[in-house]
Amino acid sequence: MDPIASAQIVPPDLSTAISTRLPTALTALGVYILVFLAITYVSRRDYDSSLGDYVVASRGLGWLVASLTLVATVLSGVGMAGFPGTVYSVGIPFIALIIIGYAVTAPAIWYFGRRMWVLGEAYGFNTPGDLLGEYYGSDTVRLYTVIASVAFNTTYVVAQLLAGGIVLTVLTGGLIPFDLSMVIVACVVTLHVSGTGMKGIAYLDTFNGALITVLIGVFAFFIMMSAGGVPEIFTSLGTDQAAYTTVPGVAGVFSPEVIILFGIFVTLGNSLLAPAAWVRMYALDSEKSFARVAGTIITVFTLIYVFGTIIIGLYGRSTLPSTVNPDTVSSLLAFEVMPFTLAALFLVGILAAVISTTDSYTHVMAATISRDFIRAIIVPDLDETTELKVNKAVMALTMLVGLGGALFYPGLITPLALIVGGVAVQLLSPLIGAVAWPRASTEAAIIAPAIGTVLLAVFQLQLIPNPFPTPMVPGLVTASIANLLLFVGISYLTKPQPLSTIEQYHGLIHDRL
Amino acid sequence: MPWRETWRHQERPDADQIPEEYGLLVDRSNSIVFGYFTGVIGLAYVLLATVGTRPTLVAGVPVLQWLLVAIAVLIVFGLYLAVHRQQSDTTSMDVAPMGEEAE
Repeated sequence: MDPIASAQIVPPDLSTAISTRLPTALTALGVYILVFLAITYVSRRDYDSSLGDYVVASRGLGWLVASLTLVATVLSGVGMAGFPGTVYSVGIPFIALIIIGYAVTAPAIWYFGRRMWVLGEAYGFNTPGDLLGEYYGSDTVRLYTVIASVAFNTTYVVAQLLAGGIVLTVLTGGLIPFDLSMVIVACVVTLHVSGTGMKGIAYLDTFNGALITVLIGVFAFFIMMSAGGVPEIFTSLGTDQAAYTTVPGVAGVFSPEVIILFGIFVTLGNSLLAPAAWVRMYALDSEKSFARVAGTIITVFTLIYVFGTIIIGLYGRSTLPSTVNPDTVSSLLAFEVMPFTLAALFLVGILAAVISTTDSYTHVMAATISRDFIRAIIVPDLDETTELKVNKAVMALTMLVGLGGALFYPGLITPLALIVGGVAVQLLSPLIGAVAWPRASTEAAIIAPAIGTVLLAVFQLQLIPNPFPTPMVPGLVTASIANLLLFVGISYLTKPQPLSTIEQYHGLIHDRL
Repeated sequence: MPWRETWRHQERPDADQIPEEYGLLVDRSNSIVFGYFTGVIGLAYVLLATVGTRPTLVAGVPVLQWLLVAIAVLIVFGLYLAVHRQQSDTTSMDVAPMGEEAE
C-alpha cells in the first residue's frame, strides 16, 4: 500500500502548484515556526521542571486555555480535512452526529470533570489509572487504562505523523521529502513536549485552536463570496440538495437514533474519556472553570463544524469533481476560492492541528506508561525525579515507535483508528462508578469494560450479528451499552468498595461540590 | 512484579451501608439539571425526526443547521442554569445556620 495513502489529507499534486510560488508558502510556514518557537520559549520560562508541572501544568490552566487546548487536541488533521471530506460524501447529518454528541459531552465534562478535578487535586492524581486503579484497588483496572492509552495514542500518533509529513512536504513544494517531513514533525514535537510539558502543550494548543477557528471562518467567508451568497452554497447542489442537507443523509444511514447514540459515544470517547482529555480535567485551576470550559467547547465546535465544515464540504461537492478523494476536498477548495497566501496559511492550520494532537497524545501516553505501568506495577519505589526522566524516555520511544509504524505499517492505521476510538469509551462505566455511583464494585469494573472491548472487536469483524450496527464503528453503541448494563448488573450482584474508600472519593466530592 | 489486587482482601460493606447522600441523583438540584439535559436530547430526537428531514432553507441556510445551533444554545443555557442553581444552593447553605441560630 502507498505509505501516504492512509493519511492523504492534502493532494500531493498541490506541491507542484505551490512550488511555483514557494517563497509565499515558505513565509507562511516560517511565521508559524516563529510563533511556535516564541511559545516554546515562554512556556519553558514558566516551566518548573517538576513532575506535576510536566504532566498536569501544576493544575493551573485557566478556562480559556483549557478549552482551546481540548479543542485543538480533539480537532487534529482529521477535523480539518477528514470531516469536510465526510460532509462532501454524506452531507450535514454527519455534523449533526458530532454536535448532538457534544450536547451530551459538554454537560458530561461539567458533571464528571469537576469530580475528577476534586479527586485529582486532593490526592495528586495525574492519570486515568491513578483515579480508577486506587478506587477499585486493582492493578487490572489500572492496566486497562494503560492498554486504552497505548492503543488509542499510538494509532493516532502514527496517523498524525503521516498527515503532518504530507502537509509539510506539500507546503515546501516537495523540497522536503515525505519521510524526512515525518521525522521533522516527530523531532519538533518531542523537543517541544520534553522541554515544556503540559504548559507548553496548552499554550501552543491555545494559539493553534484560535488560529484554526479563525482560518475556518475566513475560509467559509471566501466560499460565500465565491458562491455569490449563502443560499447559493446550498442551491448549487441542485437536485442533490435535499439528500445532502437532511436526515438521514445521502447514504440513508444517519437516522435520528444513529445520530444521537453514535454521536454521544464517539464524542464522549474523544473529548472526556480519551487519556489526553482526561488529563486535562486534572489540569484546570478550579472546579468552577468547568462550566465555562463545557460551554466554550460546544460553542467553538458549533461555530467550526456548523458554519465552517458544512460549508466547505457542501461547496466542495458542488464545485469539485465527484471522483476527488474526499480527504483532499478542504485543501483543494482552499486554493480554488482563497488567495494563495491564505490558502497556504490554511495548510499551515492543518499542520498546526496535527502538531497539537501529536504533542498531546505522546505526552499523555508517556505519562500513563511511566506512572500506571512502570511506577505502579514494575518499580513501585520510583521517585518523582526518576519518574520524570522515565516519562521523557518513554515519550521519545513512543515517537520512534510512531515513526516506525508510519514508515512501515501505514496501511494498518485506518482500520485500527476505527476500533481504538471505541476502546476509550469502555472506561465510561468504571469512571461513573468511581465518581458518581458508589454502588459500583471492582468485579464490575474488571468484567464489564473487558467484555465491551471484546464485543467491539467482534462486531467490527462481523463475527456475530449486531442488533444496532452504526457507520464506521459498527459495534460502538451495542458494545458500550452492553458494558454499561453489565457494569450495573454485576455491581448489584457483588459488594461495593470499603466504606473508607467510598468516603475518600464520594464523601469528598459530596463535601466539595 | 508486585501485582496488587487489594480489593480481594478488603472488608466490603453491604450496599445499604453506603450513605444515601452519595447517590447518583439524590440532590434535587442535580436531578433538575439532569432532567433538563435529558429533555434537550429528547427534543433533539423529535426535531431531527421531523424538522430535520425537510429540505427547507431558512434565511438561506438548511433548517438542519439551525436546529444544531438551537441545540447548542440550549446546552449553553443549561450549563448557565446549572452553575446558577449551584451558586444559589451554596448561598442558601451559607445562610441556613444563621437562620437556625435565630430560631
